[in-house]
Amino acid sequence: MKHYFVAAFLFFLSVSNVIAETITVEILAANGKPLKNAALLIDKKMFPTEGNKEAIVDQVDKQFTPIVSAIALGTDVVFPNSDNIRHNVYSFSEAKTFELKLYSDKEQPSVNFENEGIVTLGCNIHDQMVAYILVSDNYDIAVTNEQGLTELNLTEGEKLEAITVWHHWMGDKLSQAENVVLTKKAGKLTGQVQVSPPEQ
Amino acid sequence: MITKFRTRLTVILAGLVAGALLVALAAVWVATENQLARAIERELGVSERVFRELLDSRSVQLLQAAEVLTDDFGFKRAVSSKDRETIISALVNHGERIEAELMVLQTPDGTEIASSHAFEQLRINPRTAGLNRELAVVEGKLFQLVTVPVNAPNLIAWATLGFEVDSGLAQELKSLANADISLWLENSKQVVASSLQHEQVSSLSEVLKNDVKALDNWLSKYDLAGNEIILDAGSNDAVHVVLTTSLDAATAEFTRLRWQIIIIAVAALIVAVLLAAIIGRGVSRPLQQLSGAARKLQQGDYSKSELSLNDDEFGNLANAFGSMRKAISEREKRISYQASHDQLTDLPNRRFFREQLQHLLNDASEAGALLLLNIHQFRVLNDSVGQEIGDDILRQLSTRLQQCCSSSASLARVGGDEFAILYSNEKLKINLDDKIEKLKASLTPPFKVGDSDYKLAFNVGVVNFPEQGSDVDLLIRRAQVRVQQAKRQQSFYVEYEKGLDEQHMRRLQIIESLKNAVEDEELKLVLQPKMNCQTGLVVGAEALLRWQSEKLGFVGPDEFIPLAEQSGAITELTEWVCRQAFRLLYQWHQQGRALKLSINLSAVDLLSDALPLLFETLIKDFPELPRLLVLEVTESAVMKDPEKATARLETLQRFGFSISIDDYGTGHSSLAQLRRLPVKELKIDRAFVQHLSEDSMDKSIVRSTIQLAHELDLHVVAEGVEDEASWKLLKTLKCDELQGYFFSKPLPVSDFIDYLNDHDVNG
Repeated sequence: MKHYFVAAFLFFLSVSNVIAETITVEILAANGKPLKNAALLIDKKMFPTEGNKEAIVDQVDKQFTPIVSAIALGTDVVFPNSDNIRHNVYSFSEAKTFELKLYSDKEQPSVNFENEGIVTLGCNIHDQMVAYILVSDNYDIAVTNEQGLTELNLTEGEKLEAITVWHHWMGDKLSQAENVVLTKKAGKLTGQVQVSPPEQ
Repeated sequence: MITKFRTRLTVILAGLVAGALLVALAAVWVATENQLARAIERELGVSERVFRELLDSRSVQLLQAAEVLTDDFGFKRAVSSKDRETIISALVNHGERIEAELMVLQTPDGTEIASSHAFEQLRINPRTAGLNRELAVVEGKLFQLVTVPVNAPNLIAWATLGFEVDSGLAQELKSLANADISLWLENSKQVVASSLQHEQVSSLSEVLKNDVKALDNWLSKYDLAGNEIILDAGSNDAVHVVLTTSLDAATAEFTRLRWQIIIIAVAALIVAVLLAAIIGRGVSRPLQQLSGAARKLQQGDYSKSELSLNDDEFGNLANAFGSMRKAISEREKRISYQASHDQLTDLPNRRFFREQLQHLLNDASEAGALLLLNIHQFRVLNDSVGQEIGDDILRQLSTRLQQCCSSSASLARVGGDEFAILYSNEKLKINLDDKIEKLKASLTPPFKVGDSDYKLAFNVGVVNFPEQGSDVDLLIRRAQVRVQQAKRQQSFYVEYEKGLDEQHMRRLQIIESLKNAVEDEELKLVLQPKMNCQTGLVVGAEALLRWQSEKLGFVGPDEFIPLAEQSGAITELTEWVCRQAFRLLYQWHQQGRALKLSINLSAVDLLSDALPLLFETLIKDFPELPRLLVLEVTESAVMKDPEKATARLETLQRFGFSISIDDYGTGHSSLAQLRRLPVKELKIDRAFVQHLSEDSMDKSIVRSTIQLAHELDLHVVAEGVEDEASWKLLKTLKCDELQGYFFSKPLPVSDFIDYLNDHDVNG
């Protein structure tokens, strides 16, 4: 999905015939450690993309993948099951409340998300399975990997000095996203968010 | 003090055992007491750990239950519904599943979603509470709380579930830890849970309300041991956990042990006492037997005592005792033989003889004769030939007597030179005279000792009993009188005659009565005037003693003076005479009468030291006394101990007394002998004067005596002048003074004064 987005993004850049520059952005948590699964919100008005009416959130090894994804309003999200066990997918989020009763890999149910907001997905038989879908017409996202890194394509000469970052530790409201100042360091831009893992 | 050996042994043994047991008991007591305290402490410690463990495990269980609850998808869905009523009903429903009494749901940021109890009181901080198991007091009840997150899938709420800690839990603990548990709250002082009986719980509540410090009293009241631990229950309250265990139950085992030991102790004590009694019996039985035998011995019973003893130390003692008994018996036989027999002759002695005689006399039917045989002048013989020969003679004599008197009832040596022969009538069938003849015949031959022959004379006194006396002393005395009589008569034997004995008795009575004669004032002086031979005038008097005894009547001086000399009473008499003479002379001197007084001194007086002392004191009072008092002594008195008598007479002469020789001519002294004495006067015995006028022999004696006396410058007095012819004759013979019945018999003092006055008048 990420590659897809990045590809789409790159495609968009190339389409606009603007010479693009790829930069690496690093997001650190409050404790200074790389933060994974942080979503860098990219304003669609600034970087308009073609709306994709279908998205996929797969279930592999008792994990949703991708963990964070962004879709436009009215998009159908397909929930294939790549495991050989049954999964349940549910959400109690305000943006979308639904439940897909246990189903096997033979089925590929899809759900349409028509309201804006962050939808938290869970599987009621696998507590560790959590995924987030950002439903918004305004934003696209880039998600950091295990090392807290992600790549952005910028138009030549454009300088990226700050960016909005959302992480599920912040809550399930888009309004809880933080603006982060980026500083250039060793060929990459680094920003720190003020979130910490919840105490459990 | 305990004197009986058995009792003492019992007491000592029992005391020893009791002491040892007491110490053991005390040790066990202390040990069990300590053990008990430790056991209780341990039990309570265990209970405490169990309690904590139980609390922990319960909270783990609760937590698990709560987690299961909050993981329930339906529950999650209900919570997500945001519909309050739905949420509450789900909460209640799910809470009931795990029997939680308290349920609270709050948002992650601490806002109440739903609560079964006052949310404000709880103040649960889920972040800090987390998974912990908390105790909290809510609305007066104690709860164990668990707080778990509700994830859907992320945290959407905190669910807190509370389980009341109540008596049910306490009971559960009791069943596990064997200790009662009571929980009370510090703030409200309220017992919230207890496994104790209802009554104990209410009293505990009472105690807590009134005085928390009285908890110990409460424990002891119910005989409990307790431990208290304090658990935190929220910020401003605490839970006191009182773990109690019944002391009774804890001590029961030890009490049983103690009782066992006490029973063992008592049993041991009884065994000890029994043992002591058996040992004591084993010792005291032979001792009793032995002491019984000893008592028998003490009473003089020397017969063999049958002692049934073992062959042990007591047996040995009994054997030694037997030997001792035999030895004592033999020794006593020997001693009693020696006590009753004469060692020299082996004949019965006086004591034994008296017993035999008494024995015979006791039997009224017995009659017989007692012969007392005395060796004449045996002492003289003994002194001259020596004791050894004397003893030899006595042995021979006893042999002869034994041979001769074999038919006698008894033969004994009753004195140094005296033997007694006793004939009972039965054995006296032969004439007593024959017996005596035979005795005399056997004693006549001389006794041969070495080469010398000793011929002895014997005197025998005979008394017959019972006719001549039925008393041992009387018989012996009478026999002795007979012996004396025989001695005097120089005959072999004298048989008892009535009266002989009375003289002897009288003498004894006189001696006895004399002792008190002076004191009882039975004595008086009579005075026989002394005349100047030439002028016939009274120049003085001789004081003579008269005794009118109250018991015996008048006793003549011839009778009592010799007896007084024998008994020694004479010194007292003489002293009395001296004092009387002193009074008379003093009186006469005062009256102006120049008279002399003569008194008689006996041989005993001469030798007595009392006389010079008496005279010394008398002279002090009356210095003229020596000139007026003439002391008359007989020749024989001087001759008893001439040296001492001479010295004494010289002393008296130095005092100034005139000494006169009385009864001159009857003794064996010569004038030459008298010359050595400090003598002033010579008194010719009346024997020569009485018949002077008729007997020419007497006349020559008197004449020559007077002449010789005058030659020696001695004053001559003639006594016993009984007729005028004698006086005339004596006048011509130039005798100096006269005394006699012709002039006057001895006169009482008053009569003498009258006589004096008459003659003075006549003169």
